[in-house]
Amino acid sequence: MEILRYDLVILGSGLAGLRAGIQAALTSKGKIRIAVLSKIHAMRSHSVAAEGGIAGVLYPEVTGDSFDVHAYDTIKGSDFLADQDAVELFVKLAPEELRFLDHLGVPWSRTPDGRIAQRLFGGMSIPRTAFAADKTGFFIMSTLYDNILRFDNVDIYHDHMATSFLMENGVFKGFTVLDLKEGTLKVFLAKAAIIASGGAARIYGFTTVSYAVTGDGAAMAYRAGIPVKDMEFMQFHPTGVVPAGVLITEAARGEGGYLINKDGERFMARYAPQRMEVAPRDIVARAIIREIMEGRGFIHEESGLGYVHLDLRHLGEEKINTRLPFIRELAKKLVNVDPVYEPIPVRPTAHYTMGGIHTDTYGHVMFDAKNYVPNLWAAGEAAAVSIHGANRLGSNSLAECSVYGRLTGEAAAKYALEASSSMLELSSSLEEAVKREEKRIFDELFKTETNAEDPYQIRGELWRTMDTYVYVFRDEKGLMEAGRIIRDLKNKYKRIRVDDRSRKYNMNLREAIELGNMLDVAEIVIVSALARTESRGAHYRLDYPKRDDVNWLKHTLAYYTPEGPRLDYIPVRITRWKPEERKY
Amino acid sequence: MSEKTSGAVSKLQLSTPEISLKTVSKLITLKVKRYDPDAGRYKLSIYRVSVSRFDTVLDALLKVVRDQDHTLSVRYSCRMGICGSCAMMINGVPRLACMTNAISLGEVIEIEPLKNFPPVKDLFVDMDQMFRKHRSVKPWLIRRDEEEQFTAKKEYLQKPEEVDAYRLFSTCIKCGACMAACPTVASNPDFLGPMVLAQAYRWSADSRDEGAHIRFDIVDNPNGVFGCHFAGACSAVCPKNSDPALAIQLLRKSILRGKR
Amino acid sequence: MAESSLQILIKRVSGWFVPIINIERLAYLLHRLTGLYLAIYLPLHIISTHNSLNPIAWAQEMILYGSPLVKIGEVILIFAIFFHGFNGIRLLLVEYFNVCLPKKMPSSLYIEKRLSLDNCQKTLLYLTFVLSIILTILGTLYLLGLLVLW
Repeated sequence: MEILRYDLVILGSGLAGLRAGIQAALTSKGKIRIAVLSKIHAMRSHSVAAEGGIAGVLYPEVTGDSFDVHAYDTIKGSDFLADQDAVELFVKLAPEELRFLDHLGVPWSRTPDGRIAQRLFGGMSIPRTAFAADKTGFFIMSTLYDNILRFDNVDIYHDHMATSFLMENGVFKGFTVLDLKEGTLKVFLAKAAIIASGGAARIYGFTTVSYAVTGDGAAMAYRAGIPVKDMEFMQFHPTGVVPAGVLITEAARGEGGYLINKDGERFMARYAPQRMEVAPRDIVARAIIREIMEGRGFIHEESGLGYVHLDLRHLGEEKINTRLPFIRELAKKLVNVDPVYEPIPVRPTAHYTMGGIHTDTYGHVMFDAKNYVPNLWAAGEAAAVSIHGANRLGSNSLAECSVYGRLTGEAAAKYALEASSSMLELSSSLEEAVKREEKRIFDELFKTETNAEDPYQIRGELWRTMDTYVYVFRDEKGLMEAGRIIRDLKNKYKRIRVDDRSRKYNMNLREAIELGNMLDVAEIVIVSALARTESRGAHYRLDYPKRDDVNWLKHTLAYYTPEGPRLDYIPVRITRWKPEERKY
Repeated sequence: MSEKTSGAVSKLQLSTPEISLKTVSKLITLKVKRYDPDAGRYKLSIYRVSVSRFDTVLDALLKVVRDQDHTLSVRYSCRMGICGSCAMMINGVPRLACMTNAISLGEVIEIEPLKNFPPVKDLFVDMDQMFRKHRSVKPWLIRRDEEEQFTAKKEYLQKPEEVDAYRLFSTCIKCGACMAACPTVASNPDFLGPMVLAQAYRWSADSRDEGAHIRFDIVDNPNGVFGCHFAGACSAVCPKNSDPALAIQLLRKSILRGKR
Repeated sequence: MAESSLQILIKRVSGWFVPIINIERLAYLLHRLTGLYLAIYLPLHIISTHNSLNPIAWAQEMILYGSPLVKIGEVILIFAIFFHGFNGIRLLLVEYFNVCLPKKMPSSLYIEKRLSLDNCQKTLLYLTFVLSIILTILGTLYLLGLLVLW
């Protein structure tokens, strides 16, 4: 068994992971060895699919913007569940990130005089979303990957999938990692680590995210005794194309697109008369589903999904080609619709995980309200600081990834510079844990049983359940049914069989491991959603439709027990903005 | 209240696209040439699968994996043509499986792993050498004052026309399709390849960059830009229309005319 | 399993042939093949004309050159000369003199044609093929004695 020792290991090579790697390399000035692990090729992380933009108060003197306005927009957008001290830190650091990314070479779209262009986005009262055509996430990812290659002390491991955390006495020790190319288990021991493994929206079948976004980091942290926070808040992006589920960026609405129902009306006038289509995502998503539920939506003949129209025809071909070229290409290739001449069929799609690993204001992972894991950080969608609270505003996620990539990279590098090498010893209890993990993967998952379950059937069942019962509108009966099905699936999962016996690039094995993580995450989502008897942000209960600040102004923490998640609660940190009614 | 609403919830938030109510579908044949690492050679697997009019080749392959053969290994991730994982030879042409419509290709689709890369298993190929070549041309923003670059007090100004000069080539998703199509890559393993040369140009043409002469020295040899003899196949197959052949011509022009 | 040098050579050369996706790649392949053909022909030609000093060897050669195989080889030679020449001029114009490069890079990322291929370069390419084929036909007719030049 190969044992690799590094000063800092970063799990995940998305925006947050690569930004952390670059910051750690800069902070340490080449003195520490850093490893970046990705279960696919490092430059193909799902951050590349982000389209709309990244927010930051760049030119306050020109637009009349200020940190306070950005903070207020974010906090109001989060339905007042965001921790306000973290939001204040975040908005102060976001513009520095935009400049830093520019210095790395991101091809921002520019104003005629050469400054970075900014546009309006959902829930933002002033245009502060910088963008690079409509592939902002892709250009930033590509630039970060290209730039991380310049550091000799950063090793990038493609096709390496972490399967568990190794912890000892509350201190993080390392990862057990499956080398997918060779099919062997390796151990990565580290003085410090950053979890940047992304969200978990793939627990749904109809989703904008790639097949790799399975919540591995959150599930592994959960099983290692670290709490995951606010998992019931899953964001549904209003405009996912039907039937593929692929994302149509919010910028389409930011540039002036209309949402039209079957009667040809811009129905957002009835739900958010001031902001119309550029209201926050949870409000628009609920509006669309309401329209479909009340019979004013279209029905897609092949998949049976209800949808409404996103109309961009009035924007004109030139504006679409300059500002939204990727949308045009996707609509034409995937659903044979040219947005210059026809409206695009869209429907709310599972998109972003507001919840994640519990951290403090600076991205440092915590066991509860007071105790830290001394050498573990989390950044990006995998973490819940929480900046986004119950609902995320568009273009805040790329900013969060970059800001927290920087903060955690710096903090982890400083820790690793001072930590002693004795941390990298493989004690006998750790060896035991590694052997157990090896047995779990290679003996138990490869087990041959006559009436074994098919992991793909289980996955299909999971997707159907989540899409039906844990979608935009939830209620007690549906959630209880979903919980029963998931527990049943978890029992079935113990008896699955992996058909592919080869070692190299065994996708069957990889997907079986991911399925285990997805089932854990789904269970946490359902249990948390069932417990929260109010509606806030993206979590809407038909049986409890009002927001309840008296009882529920708190974060949900879910801890692992063999019988299922145990829930605990910690208060939201309020500094200057008192919770108020959320109207747009 | 619960009875009515939960019925509403489950009835109206209908099923995922996996359950189709009324699909125009067709039965097609996939002939997949897979590499067997234990035997050290290729084997042919033939599958019949039903596809709807919107299904892509990747959808068809994933249906095969799910319903017929769990051992078929395919590299894929985003299924929207932006990550570059699923490049493979489809009917002899290197394409992204997730952006290629299946029904429009006819009754039989022949699928092979991406050419000019060493195969590892089934449709997986080893792209390490391409990544190494990419790193060797220093594909990052080179500034003389690195201290200033990384402390970033003010953004660099760049006019829209200056962005246009290189932005087309920065849309490259590093899928490897151009490397599979290029005949020079096929016959000369040391040739840097269209993707790498296009990226060398992308960074050299960026008005914020100050290291073009360094990269020109790296590519100015028969294994660099002068190994290209304009077969143009790279630009013909690029799934993002990123036009690497144009980048190589512009790179050659810059080197020959002594720009920067 | 290590491959022999011959196997490697065959694999490398076969990379020129498949896949032929666009016409420029076909021109690339023909340019290499005609170039190889000319490179083999030229030393043979020099050796052959050297034999004109020896009447007996010359007479033997003339008989050899009467065979149909050699005649076909001569037709291919005509095509090789013209194609390699015209394509060479085209490559010189496009690659060195940059005649067909776009004047301005597009400001929109919605791209429907390839700037390097779908421009005056295509015209030059068609011209190369057409001229080569026409002149080959004329040359063959001349060889067969069906065409008199002056």
